[in-house]
Amino acid sequence: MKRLALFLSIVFLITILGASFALAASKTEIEVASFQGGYGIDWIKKIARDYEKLHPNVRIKVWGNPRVWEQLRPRFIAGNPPDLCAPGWGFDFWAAIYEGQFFPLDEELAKPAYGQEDKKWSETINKALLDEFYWEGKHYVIPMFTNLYGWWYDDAFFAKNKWEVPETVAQFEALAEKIKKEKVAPLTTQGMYPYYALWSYFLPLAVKYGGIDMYKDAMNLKPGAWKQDGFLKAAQKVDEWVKKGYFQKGCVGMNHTESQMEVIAHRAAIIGCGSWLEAEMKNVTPKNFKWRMMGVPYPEDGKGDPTAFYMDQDIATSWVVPSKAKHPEIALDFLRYMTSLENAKYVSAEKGAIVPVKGSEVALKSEALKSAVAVYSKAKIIWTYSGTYQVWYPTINKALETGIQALLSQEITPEQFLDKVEKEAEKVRKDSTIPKHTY
Amino acid sequence: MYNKKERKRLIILFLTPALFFYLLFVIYPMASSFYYFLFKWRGVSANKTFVGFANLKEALHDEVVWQSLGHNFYFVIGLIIIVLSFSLFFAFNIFRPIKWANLYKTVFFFPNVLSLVLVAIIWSFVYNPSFGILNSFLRMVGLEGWIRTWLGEKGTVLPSITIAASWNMMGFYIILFLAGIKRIPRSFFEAALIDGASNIRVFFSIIMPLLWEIFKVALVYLIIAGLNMFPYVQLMTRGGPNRHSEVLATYIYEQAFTNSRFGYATSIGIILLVVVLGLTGLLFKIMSRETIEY
Repeated sequence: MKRLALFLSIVFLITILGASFALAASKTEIEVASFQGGYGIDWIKKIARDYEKLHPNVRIKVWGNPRVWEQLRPRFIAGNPPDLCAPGWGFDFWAAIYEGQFFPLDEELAKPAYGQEDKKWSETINKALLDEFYWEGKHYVIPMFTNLYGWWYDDAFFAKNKWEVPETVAQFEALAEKIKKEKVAPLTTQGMYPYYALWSYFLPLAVKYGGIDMYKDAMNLKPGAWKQDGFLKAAQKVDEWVKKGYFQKGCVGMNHTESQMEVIAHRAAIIGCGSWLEAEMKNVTPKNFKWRMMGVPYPEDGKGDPTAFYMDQDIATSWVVPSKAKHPEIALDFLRYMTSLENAKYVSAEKGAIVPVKGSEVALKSEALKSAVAVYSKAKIIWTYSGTYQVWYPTINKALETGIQALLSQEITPEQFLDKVEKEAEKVRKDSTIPKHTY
Repeated sequence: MYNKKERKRLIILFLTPALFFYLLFVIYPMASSFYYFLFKWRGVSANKTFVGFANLKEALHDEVVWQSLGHNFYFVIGLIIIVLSFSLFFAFNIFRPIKWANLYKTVFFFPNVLSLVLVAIIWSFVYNPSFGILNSFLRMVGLEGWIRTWLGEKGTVLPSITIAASWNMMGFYIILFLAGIKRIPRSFFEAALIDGASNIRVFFSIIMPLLWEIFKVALVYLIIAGLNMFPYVQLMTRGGPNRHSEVLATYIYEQAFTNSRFGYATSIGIILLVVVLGLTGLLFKIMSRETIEY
């Protein structure tokens, strides 16, 4: 009898195990690999678990780390990539697009959005950001976080000194003189990473001086584009501000945290940066410090739109479906689900970040980010750089970076700076091996 | 007792695993660079286009390559002068029966065990133009005119990095020389002492000749370190300002991982390899002396 019971229980166990294995086998597993930075990957896991509830036959394995591209690169080369990935800032998205490594998303983008079935998926996402990775008629990258760029300051410090937020260049210069009297530097920058100075001083001023078409000419590699008046005026303005002592002494040698710390310590009043600033400096910002963003002041004699605004997707957590994914259809569907309005609001509230899904900004809790969204929402012209020109033509970008550094340290004149950039653009124009883009 | 053949077999047996990994992780990647530099390769797929020697030709005409190589030589010379002179001086002085010799050994060796990232951060703080201790010190003693953006100015960026790297490396060389000096039989020093030789005389007539082999090894290490410098430069200045501290290794990194030009980056790597081999070969040739047996 005992033996029979033992036998039966073994049979029972095997049946149960076998059935569960069979059940597991009938589930399709997709692999999701993500860059793990400031926002973590717990939110992806949470959305994945929700998706699994909606689709019981799908299992989503999520993994990630801060240098995920190092693991993904060999897998792309070997033709064995995950089904969905956010390969991070160390991954060259454009090289992968040229090499046909990403799955075109347009068919999926035409499908209805999750939760807003009356709209196409593409209509729910910020167009400027979606279009950043547009190549030969197709879209390849879905943005997850938005970076808004402008000038940041401490509202409490400004209020205490009765300084008013300037709107025009003239107003800023008048304010700068007042700020200088308090032994505070009006401006500082993350000089060791000169792209910050491009993003927040030179390029926005140039677009406001010369207009978006001038900027487009440069983006489209039109001969002589960088020597146009708007660029020259912007470079001259930066030069003038250095000479007048508006830029903090020594900022060329500072890294991002050092220079940002200068604003927190009230040794500098304003710093150009992206909307991640508040989160990045959270641990060292005193409670009474109020980060706020203002738009880059516009010159009254400028030809460009005064509200022209620079934004980019935070490439570190942008999503792609590899063209060699094993289950692209599930990966695409999950991606569409991940960017539903409901999920976007959840991510935005949970991570305190701006998500490029229209309508999700209502979930923002941070006053600093709300101030950035307020400036953005007034903008009539939106332009991009770090996901486009900066990575389309890295050598021209490098000429701009080293040039602005040299300008900030007064090694070259504004004219020499633009000569240098134009020369590099000429080289790129002539190099037929570099793929050319239209902006 | 083993006979010679058995001994040889045993040696081979023990060497094989290490040799296997050395071949796999050092020799194979190095050898494969002699293959990749012939291609235009973006490094994200298996597609490669054969371009022959075009990459190498371009690299030889790239002014940034030469500028970076110049900075590398600056570091080589700077490190040799600072690290060798100071570490020999300290090693000789710690060797003599002075008070707290062990404490000094620990203190001098300490920077060497710090991680490179930490060293770079510490020195970035020292050089910080706004609150760094260097500028604060200068301000305190009334030398305001000497205040600089140490890592942000053309004239000061290379010396500043050299000093930081020297501080980090010194401990290793002190210990290396100290071990060398300790190997010299005491009787030599005693004889010199009886003959009334001064410390300087002892240093140049006994220590230096007997330390020659170690000195040579130290030079080779320093040359290789000066021709690399990647961690210090990448962490402290990223080659800036305006490429004034760019070295070949950071430029290779930029070409490969920012510009996705792996073939081109590899060809610059080959130039670096040739320079390292050439320089160390030359050094051994110049410095070859008969080894003194004692």
